[in-house]
Amino acid sequence: MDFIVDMQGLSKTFAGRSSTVHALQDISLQIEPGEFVSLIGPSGCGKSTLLRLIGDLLPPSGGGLSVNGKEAHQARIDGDYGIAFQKATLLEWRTVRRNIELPLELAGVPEAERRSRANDLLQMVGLTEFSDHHPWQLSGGMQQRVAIARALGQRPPLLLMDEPFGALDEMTRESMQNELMGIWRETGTTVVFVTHSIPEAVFLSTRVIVMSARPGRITHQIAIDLPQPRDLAVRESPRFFELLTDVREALRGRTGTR
Amino acid sequence: MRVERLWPPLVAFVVMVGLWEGIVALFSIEAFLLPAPSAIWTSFTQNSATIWAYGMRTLTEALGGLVGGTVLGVLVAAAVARWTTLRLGAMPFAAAVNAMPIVATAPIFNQLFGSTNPVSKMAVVALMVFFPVMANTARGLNEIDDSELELMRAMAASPFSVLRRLRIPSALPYFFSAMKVAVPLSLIGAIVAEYFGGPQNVLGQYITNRAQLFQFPDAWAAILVSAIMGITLYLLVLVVERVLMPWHVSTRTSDG
Amino acid sequence: MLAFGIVLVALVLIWEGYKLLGAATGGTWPFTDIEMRPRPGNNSMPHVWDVVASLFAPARRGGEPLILTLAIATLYTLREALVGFLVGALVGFSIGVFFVRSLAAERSLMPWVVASQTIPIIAIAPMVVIWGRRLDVPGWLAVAIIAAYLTFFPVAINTVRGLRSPEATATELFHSYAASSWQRLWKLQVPSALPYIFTALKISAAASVVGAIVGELPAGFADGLGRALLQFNQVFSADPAKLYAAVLMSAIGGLVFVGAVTLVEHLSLPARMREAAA
Repeated sequence: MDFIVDMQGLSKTFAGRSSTVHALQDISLQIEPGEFVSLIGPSGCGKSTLLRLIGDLLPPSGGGLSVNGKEAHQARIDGDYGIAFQKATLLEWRTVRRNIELPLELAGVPEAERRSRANDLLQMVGLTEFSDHHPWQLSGGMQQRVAIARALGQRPPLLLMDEPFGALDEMTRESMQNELMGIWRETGTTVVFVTHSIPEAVFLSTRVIVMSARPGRITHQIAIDLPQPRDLAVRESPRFFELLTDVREALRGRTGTR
Repeated sequence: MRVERLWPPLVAFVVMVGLWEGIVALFSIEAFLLPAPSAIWTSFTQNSATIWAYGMRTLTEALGGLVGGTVLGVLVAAAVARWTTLRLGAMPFAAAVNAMPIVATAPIFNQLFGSTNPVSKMAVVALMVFFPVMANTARGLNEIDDSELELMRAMAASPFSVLRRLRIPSALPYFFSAMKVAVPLSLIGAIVAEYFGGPQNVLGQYITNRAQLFQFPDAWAAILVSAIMGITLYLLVLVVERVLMPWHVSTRTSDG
Repeated sequence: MLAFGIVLVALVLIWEGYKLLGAATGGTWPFTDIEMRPRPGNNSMPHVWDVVASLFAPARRGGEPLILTLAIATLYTLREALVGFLVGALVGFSIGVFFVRSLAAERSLMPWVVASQTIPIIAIAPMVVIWGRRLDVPGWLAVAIIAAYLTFFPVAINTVRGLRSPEATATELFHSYAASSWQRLWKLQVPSALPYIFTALKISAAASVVGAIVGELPAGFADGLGRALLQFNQVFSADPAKLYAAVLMSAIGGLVFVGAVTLVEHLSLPARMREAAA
């Protein structure tokens, strides 16, 4: 099977005024289509940097990287991925609908097709009633739903998410996680998801990648063998708590597998 | 460290003046078209006594108006901060007056106070300066975090204490922002107000009179004097700001 | 709106109150011998209603009502200011875009742009006009140039600020779409910059009107508010109300000009964004 993301010995250094920062060192990781992979680690471990390398928003300093079978640069040009940030980053002067249409507009998709695609996406995230609202009229969770709908506009095979729920309160966060699971199942998109939250990583993922800092590297890969679909029962199952412990201990640097 | 940043503009200035002088000489440009820096300098040194004497009168008008307008502006800002109902009326009114050409009132003040009376010019300057000072200071007095106010209340601070320890220090940066605008404005306002009539021994009249006679080097020399006065006043504001607000980094770069 | 009206009424009351006091005490401050300055008599401080009435009376014997004369003068002045303002805004915007697209251009040219503002052009406006006339530049054009000069700098500076205002993630978003820098300019940077640009435009509009009036002061201008102010200044002792009327019309002229820019702003930007760049 072709990997949708293939990293071989990837590294990234930033040259500072007085020192060099080794953000990432020797990252090797293969992601298969349809997976939901979380990157988790302490601040400064390079997980956001890694995400941006995949998205060709930063150039690597060394090593090999292929995205969707191409150079990361080409994958970006071809629109092979959608991205969502911690800040929804919606354009204030556009309505919700026109925000979702943005990538389609930039790609030159004709208006009728844009409208119909936007309608489908609005329905998928349950925001059809708000299509003519402006971003400031929406709650944080709703704005993120718009951002996710926007990211999926061109039906990309890959979705990159940089702590998209980090700014939300706990209850909204959980309901957004449930929604994301629904969207993931419906679209079959591969997701690379950066997070600080252990329960979030375990609940959402098929695989959790644990990273450590200075320099950033992968220390553990933990397969999450929880049943699909992920629902409330899963959150309260004993296996869920075991996996939480596994990830927590991996983050602490202790290997403990069950 | 700050000195290093002065070199490029200084060098640019010297180069520019040199180029200017060179171009005028090379193309034999007539004085009425573009006066050479050397001609301006000559006029400046020759007429120095006169221009500085006139300059002092203009400066007096500017300072008088500056003080009057600033005091009034701060008082009204304090009132507006204290009684928030005033804000609703004051702010849109201030915005509207800002849109009007205040200098057009100069002939009226000339008539009301007599055009030879410096107060007539001070009034125009005061009016021009009042609004930026009032608007900025009012903003500064009001833009306090709710949490800071709650802290003061939790410590049972009196309204006067809140004013002294919280509002005024918070407002100082805004006040100095306004002063940096008001100071150059006061000089320009005084000069322009003089154009509408008054005694002849002031900078504004000197500039227009020399210009009418096409003696442009003289006019530019007078402008040089006003520029020097303006820069000096501005630097004074910076010094006072540094003294009163040592904690505040108020250097502004073009990036903002 | 209402609050504005209240302040206006308050000011009128203070004016008339001052005059009443003067009438009662014969022109001195109560309980003193000090003369009230300014003099509260009708020769220097006409009643507010007299000023308004004079607007509708003929300016010259058998001529058109004063308000019409003044309106024409105001339009003349505003037209010069508008031409300069529009040119200055366009130039300023272009400079701003140029500086943001080329760091080299910004580094080398920005100091010159800033230096240009050390010349107080409002203060030398009459000189510029006289100079222009010597060069056969018509008066109205010299005034328009003054207005353009006053406008281009604030617009350029605020354009640069505004074009750089979008948050980093927004720029990354556009990179992720492989958007061209042109697309990024028009679909992200310019809309983000509009609130900043309008702030500069409102300030420049007011400054342009001032520059126009001051520029019209040298002899040789037959029309415009500058001339009207000087003219009615001369006949003040005979008819003070006319000068007040002229000042009033100048104020209205400035308000209309800035008001027009504000109207365009309201139509182009949703309310939320207008407060963003104060």
